[in-house]
Amino acid sequence: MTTTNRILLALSGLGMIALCVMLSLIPRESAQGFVQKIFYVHVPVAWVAFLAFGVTGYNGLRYLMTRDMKFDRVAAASAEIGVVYISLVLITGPLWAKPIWGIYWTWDLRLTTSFILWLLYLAYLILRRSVDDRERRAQLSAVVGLISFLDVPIVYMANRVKASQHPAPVVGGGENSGLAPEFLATLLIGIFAFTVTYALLLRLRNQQARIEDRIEDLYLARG
Amino acid sequence: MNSFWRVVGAVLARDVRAEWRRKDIFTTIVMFGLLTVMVFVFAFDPARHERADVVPGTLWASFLFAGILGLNRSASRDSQDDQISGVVTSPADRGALYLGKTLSNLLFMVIGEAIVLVAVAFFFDLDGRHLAPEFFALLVLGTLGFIGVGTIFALVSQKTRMQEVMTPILLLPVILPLLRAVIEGTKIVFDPTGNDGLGSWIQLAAGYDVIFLIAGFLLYGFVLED
Amino acid sequence: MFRKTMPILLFLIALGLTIAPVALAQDYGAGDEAWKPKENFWWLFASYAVIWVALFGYVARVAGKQQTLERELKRLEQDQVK
Repeated sequence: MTTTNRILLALSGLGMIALCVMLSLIPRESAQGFVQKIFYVHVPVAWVAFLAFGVTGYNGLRYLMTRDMKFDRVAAASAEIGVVYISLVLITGPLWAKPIWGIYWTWDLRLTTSFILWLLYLAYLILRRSVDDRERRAQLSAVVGLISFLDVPIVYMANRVKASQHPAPVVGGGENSGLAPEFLATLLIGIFAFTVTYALLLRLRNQQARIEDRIEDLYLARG
Repeated sequence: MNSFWRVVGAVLARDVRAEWRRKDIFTTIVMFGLLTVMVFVFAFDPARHERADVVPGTLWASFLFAGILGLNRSASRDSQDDQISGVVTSPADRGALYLGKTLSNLLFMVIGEAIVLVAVAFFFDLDGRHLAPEFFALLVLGTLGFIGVGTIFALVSQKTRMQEVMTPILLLPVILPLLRAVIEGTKIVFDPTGNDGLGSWIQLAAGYDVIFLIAGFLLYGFVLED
Repeated sequence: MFRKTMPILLFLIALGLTIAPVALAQDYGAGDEAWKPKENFWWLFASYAVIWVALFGYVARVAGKQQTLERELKRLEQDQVK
């Protein structure tokens, strides 16, 4: 493991431990009680899931501009990791909603947007599996990834308009819920820990993709 | 600039001529549109539910599913004839190809939609509400956005192993916000009691169209090259 | 590389899973309530456990595959030299 990766791994581990420590120190939240603490992993994981999709879209764009395979590898790696993260959002959301609202799912703004993001990720990954030629796969993925990424803010806006007309139980506090400093600090530590973990995973997966490509090239050279 | 519009016109003319002969895209859209309406009639009994709730969704879902099949037919026709690659010469041409293709798909779609709409208006006794100018605005914006993204995604699908099956997988998630906007807007137009919030839906649909038509225009060329 | 990192990863997962319930069960400033079993605790624990296992499990999987790939690459490159 390279030095950078070791550092990232250490930071990731420390971040998680710090998160746990903070969670034990902060008082329980008054409205939802104890289970509200899911917030401190649910939100950071969601943030990273959206970030990862942005990384995929951006690297797709860079590929189209340069035709350099390295951008496609990063885009693909980010999509793989991102789909893990967004799946975690969709798992922890219901785990939070059930004790609070008594229902596993609701079509509120955030969960609906998250589910659509999950679908966009999945479509991207299914597309990649369906193309064997490396350059063609990179080209098509870049186009689809970019268009899908442009869609995300519009999805959010459309759901927001609908939510303002038909309010539904909101998983994760309202738009304007301010945070007391100790809650905010915990949230930021959570965001830090999960973002660092994402960066580590991205590097690892990308390095692996590079080796996979190299191996494929060697096999092709053999004939 | 002149050659740009010439290419657009050429693509449009070629597609219309081919369709005039074969008529299969148009038939597909009308047939599947009506069939989907039937499925929804069985799924949600219109006699029992509040009509305003069921009809907008039924209408747009029918357009959507019929349209996907039409787009696939249109794109596979290009692959089979392999005529489209012959026209790829300059980068400026590629945007023109997109525009021409989108316009021809739009034309077929709109004609098909009109027929399905007449049938729906009859079956659900819309009583002229579907003739409101606001509804036509929604119809145009919705179809334009759908065809705009669909044209490029249908071509992407042609180049994959899964081919036609890929189109709904790619298209549907991306089209969801537009679908929400036009369905909610149609609900407001068809419901005689309310008119609130229509503006924001129309704005959303218009914004969607602008963004994705420009994106399609810029990116279509990348899908063509191979 | 893998042999060195796998134990570390497993350790982190185990650490996370043990610290988490202890940490989560704390209730600073709750006085008498602090050591009573919490309502809905298992929902909270389930969320954290899923996340820990998913993420560090993914790291373990990637790192494991890496080792196989590196070996294959070395083999191919040596073959090429011959």
